[in-house]
Amino acid sequence: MAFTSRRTNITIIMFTDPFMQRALLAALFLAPLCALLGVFVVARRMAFFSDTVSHSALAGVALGFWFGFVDPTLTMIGFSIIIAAAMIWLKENTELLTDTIMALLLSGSVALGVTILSLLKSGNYQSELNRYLFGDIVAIGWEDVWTGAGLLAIVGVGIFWQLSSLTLLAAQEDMAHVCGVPVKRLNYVFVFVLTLTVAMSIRLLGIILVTSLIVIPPAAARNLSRNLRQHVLLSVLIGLIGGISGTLLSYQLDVPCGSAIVLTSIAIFLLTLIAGRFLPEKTFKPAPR
Amino acid sequence: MKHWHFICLLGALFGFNSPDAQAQLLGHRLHVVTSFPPLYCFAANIAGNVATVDNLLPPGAEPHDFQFSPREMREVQSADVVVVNGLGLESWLTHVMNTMSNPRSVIVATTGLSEADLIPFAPNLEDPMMTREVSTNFNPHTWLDPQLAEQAVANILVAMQHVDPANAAAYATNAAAYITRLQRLDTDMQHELAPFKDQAMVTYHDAFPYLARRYGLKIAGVVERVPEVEPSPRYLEALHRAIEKYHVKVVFGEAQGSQKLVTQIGADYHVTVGQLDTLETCPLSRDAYENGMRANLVALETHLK
Repeated sequence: MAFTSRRTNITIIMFTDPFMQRALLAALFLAPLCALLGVFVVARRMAFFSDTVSHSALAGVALGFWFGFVDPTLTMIGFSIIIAAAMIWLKENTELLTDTIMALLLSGSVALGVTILSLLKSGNYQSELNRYLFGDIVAIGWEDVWTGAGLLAIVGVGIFWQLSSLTLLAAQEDMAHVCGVPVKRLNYVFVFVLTLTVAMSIRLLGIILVTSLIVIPPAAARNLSRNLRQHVLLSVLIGLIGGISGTLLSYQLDVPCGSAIVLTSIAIFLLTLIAGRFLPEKTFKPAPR
Repeated sequence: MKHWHFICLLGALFGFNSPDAQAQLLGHRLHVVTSFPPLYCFAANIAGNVATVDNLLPPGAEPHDFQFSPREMREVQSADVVVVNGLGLESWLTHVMNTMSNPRSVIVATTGLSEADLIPFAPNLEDPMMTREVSTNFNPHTWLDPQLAEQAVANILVAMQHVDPANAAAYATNAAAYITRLQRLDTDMQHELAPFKDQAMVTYHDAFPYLARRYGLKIAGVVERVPEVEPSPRYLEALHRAIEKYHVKVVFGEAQGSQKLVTQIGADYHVTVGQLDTLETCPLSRDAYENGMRANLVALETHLK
């Protein structure tokens, strides 16, 4: 009896505690945003790109502390954008293959971040490192929540406005160019928005896990969808369910939020995998490469 | 798992039972190395101008969690007396001590404190999720109670006199003068904090139970139960309940802690935010301990009003 009342109590508290309110709202805005971008990230084989961007955030955080900022969000975003730009530049101006470039920048920026942190904190940087590697749900402030909401609004409108161009870009870059899509500009804008989104989501999931929120929902949606519109909508829906239920679960079990969200999303993916087997033949094929 | 027993044993082996310890100074000044700043203050005041005192940790490093560099290894090797706090505070030092044969005397500053003096790590909040990985069952932050600090000064004095008997009288005079100052600090704190008896507060780490006990204050809970481990939302909710239950007015952050988190707690749970210093990273000067404690006194008075 006491157990039941404690359970209900926990459930109520979950929605009244300010720390949880912020976390849930952050998940509410950021999870669909990541899933929405994820559809195009997965189609363009850019999952590793977002991974590199998120890992580069560590160096940005370390630089922020170096400059004496209390909150290193700005340097974190700034450095991630620099790394994203470096990736594009190297890809366009050298003979190096994409994954080589990414591995180089990822390991380089992580090494830089760890080095700076350890120099700054005189052998006591572990807690800061943990906070960014695995996410820190209690560090989410209202400003993070509203930034997430703003980003979601802008990206949502932008993607539906440019849906045909983006689809063409994801399917056939040369074709898009021929059809008069401003390929370069669209590419830059897409990378910029993706970088912002990844940096904002680090608070919730941490550097290591943030890519999962971009990759798993579209992957799960692919198992069920028959056309692009379904794919986009389902991906957003699955991202939302995974994000919110993962956050709730993390509170119930008192485990880190990032890992709870990832495991919940993977559970949904497995469900869609099984459900997809029973669906009639899908007409929607992945983009040929 | 009681490291400090082991350090005591080391002290017994290399220091007090060593018949030629006294003859080993070989005409150079006594060199004392302390593990962290408050002990530096105590030793430096006893040493006066007679002995040299160095602190092992670089400024800003936490004693809880530290890795040795070759420079620090040499520092320990060259010391005549090594002063540590004990009670598991310097678990990073024990494995280094294992490999060394040189320091003639290792003195544990908390030696001689009875079980009644020591405060066990008690969970303040009903939180079954928390387990603590420390090497002792007692809270090591004894120096934040000036009366227990006197005991540390007495212990260091005995060790220095033992290794450097030629200057024993000078050390005794210096120690007596310093203990008088500590007593004045204690009297001032008793007097100033008397109006706030039984008031509850929340601190960042579980570092202030000795100070609270001495001056009749209550600790309703801590933000970080285990140093360097972020509290979960669930834990913070339990803290919120404790804040309401004990009518806490103030949450004290620390210079080394996350200011953002403390500010957030203050805003969410409608309590004021202050700052207390554990003195673990206080400056290396002779009056740093007293200054730090007086700054803590001002912070307590300001926010408990």
